[in-house]
Amino acid sequence: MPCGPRARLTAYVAYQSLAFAEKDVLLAALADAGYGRVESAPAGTESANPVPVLDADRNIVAAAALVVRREHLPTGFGDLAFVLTDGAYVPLVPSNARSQRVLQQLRTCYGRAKAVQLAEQARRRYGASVQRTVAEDGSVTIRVRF
Amino acid sequence: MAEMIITVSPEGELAVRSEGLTRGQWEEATAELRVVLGEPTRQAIEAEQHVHHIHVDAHRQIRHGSG
Repeated sequence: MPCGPRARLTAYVAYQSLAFAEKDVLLAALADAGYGRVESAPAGTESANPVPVLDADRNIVAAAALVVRREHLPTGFGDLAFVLTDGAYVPLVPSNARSQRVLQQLRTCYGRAKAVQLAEQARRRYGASVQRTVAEDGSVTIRVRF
Repeated sequence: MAEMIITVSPEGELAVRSEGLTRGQWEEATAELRVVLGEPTRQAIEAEQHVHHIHVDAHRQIRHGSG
């Protein structure tokens, strides 16, 4: 007899590449990546992207909602900026290999920050226990037991 | 005991796995993920274990033997 919602599942969902959709998760990821000082657009003005973005030569090249200033980044990098478009923070970086490495690191940190947030939500909602482990290759596993 | 296992690969892939969550708990969790993260890249239900109910006739009297 089918049990509907009471059936117990072995199942998974996987997201290969997360959009930077949540500001609090993105800020946590930036802090984890070593970029704790971030200029943010004033509350309510994010979608206007009012914060100026400077390149390595201090020229204003764009405007964004979140900006890590170049003095906190590798030399010659320019600002690391995020433009709020269609509900997601789109990174604005030079198109070179170094930028791609920084972005890859940030994507990993964003995934970790999202995972921690999900585990914390489950812990609070269901009184679950949470155990986190980090493997040598840098992969993170969080077990939430109900 | 049921587990939800969340993994993040070095490349940043986020996977959420159910090991014994009820379908109701799993659907609630994945619905919330879809709201924030959109449609997953991959997803599967690998096994489904149904709970079998035991019905007890509460009206039946137990007669103890007399000797």
